[in-house]
Amino acid sequence: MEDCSGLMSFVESFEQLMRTSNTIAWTGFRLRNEGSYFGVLWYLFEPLFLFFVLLSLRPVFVKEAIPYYPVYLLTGIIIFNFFSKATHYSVSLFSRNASLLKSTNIARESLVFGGVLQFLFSHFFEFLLLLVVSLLFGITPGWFFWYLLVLVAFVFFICGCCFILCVLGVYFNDLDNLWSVFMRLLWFLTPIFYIPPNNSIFLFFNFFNPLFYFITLFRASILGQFLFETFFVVLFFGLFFFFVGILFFNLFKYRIVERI
Amino acid sequence: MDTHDTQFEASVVLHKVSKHFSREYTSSSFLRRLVSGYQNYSQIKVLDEVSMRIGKGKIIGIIGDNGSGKSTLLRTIAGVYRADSGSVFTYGKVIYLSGAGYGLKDKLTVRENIYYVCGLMGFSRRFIDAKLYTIVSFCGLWDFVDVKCYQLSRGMISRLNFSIAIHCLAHQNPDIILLDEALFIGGDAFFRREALAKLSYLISCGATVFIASHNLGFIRRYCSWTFWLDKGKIKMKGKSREVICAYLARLSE
Repeated sequence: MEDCSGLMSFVESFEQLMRTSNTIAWTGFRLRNEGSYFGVLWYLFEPLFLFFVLLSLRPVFVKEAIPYYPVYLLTGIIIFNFFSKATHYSVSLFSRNASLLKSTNIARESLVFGGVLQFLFSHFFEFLLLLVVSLLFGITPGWFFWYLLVLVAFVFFICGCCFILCVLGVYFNDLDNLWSVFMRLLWFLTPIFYIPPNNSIFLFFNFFNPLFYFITLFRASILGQFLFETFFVVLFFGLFFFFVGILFFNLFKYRIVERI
Repeated sequence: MDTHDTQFEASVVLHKVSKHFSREYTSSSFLRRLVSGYQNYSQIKVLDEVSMRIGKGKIIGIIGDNGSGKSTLLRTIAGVYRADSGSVFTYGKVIYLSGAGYGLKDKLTVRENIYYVCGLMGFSRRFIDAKLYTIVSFCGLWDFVDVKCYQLSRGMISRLNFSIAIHCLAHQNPDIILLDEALFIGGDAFFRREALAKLSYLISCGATVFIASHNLGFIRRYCSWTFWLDKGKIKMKGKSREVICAYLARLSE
């Protein structure tokens, strides 16, 4: 009976956590483009403009022939966008919500989940764009299921990174700037708009770059070539980062409120 | 309220609770500190071995000067902060209500803010739908329900904050209520009277209540027992009237 009540209480807490996260996510999502003329359409315009710029610069970056290059490029852009925006948002997450955290005892995890969920909503818009572009290039939407499967692992991975970054962001004010620089570096080192060269330094870096595996797998799944080995690698990255992130976050989650 | 009565049913027990904070003095950069060797922070003891044992259903006042540790004490009981040493035990559901409000969003309307804050408190959308009318009516903002908050006056914002907080509190059915300067109610005299009546009703509903405030009149009226905090230590505890008299006597010295 005691076990049952423990389970019920866990389910109730989890439900409340999800409800709070959802509230934070929707509010953040709505407020991001509040008052702008195009509103939520900016979630489409932003990746679309970058897509057209990079597509027009293709002869500069890409000498080889890449099948379905526009789909290849757009997949890279939207996956990188999701990671970059969610992680950058989490760096200053607690300082932005200082008054809320000090005036209530809400689950601190809900701020992190809410942040990731907010960018998952905007990823949905970018996904629609990808769907349209892939249909235009004659790719049948049979890849949808595989895409979702990889997305689940990717969300776990992003949550883990955000858990770590939001704690570090409280202790190191410089992290906000450092993370911007790191994201810029990652943007150029990850094969988003070019084909990975056979360069040993590049290969060595990308061997440890989880984004490389995620983007490769997303692209393969869209083209109907699901790479099971790579899937296990990304699943490992997703779960590993998630659990390490949760553990790290739990170590500091009470201390961080005192620092903000 | 300390007691050795074996029949005593405790609701909140604190045993030698201490809390330190690091305080920064200047905003000098890490590089400058590295070169000069100057430490720009120090440890401040905000709570110093605070012990208390409060029975169920008691209404306790916490008074003291600014920076005496009242808010830190309530936040430590609420679990917002963790004690550095000592132990805190609470029995039942704890709700912490701060006069600072829940961070309403300027760019959202009154209606959207109610959904936002109540959502943060964990209420379902259906529940908020049902309570929206009560919350808005209480703060008298029906004519402004779809107006963005940055267009409201400070008094209106304060009324909205209070109304959301008090209605959320009423429906969470807590065992322990911690009111941190929640008596700092904005708005006009009429609203203040209504708000105080609502608050008085809530704190007399059987939960254990802690009220940290500078409103000594309210504490004298509703709290049976009061703790006077001074520099993180309990300077005096006892019947509210006596503690408040001693506190006021100290002020007039």
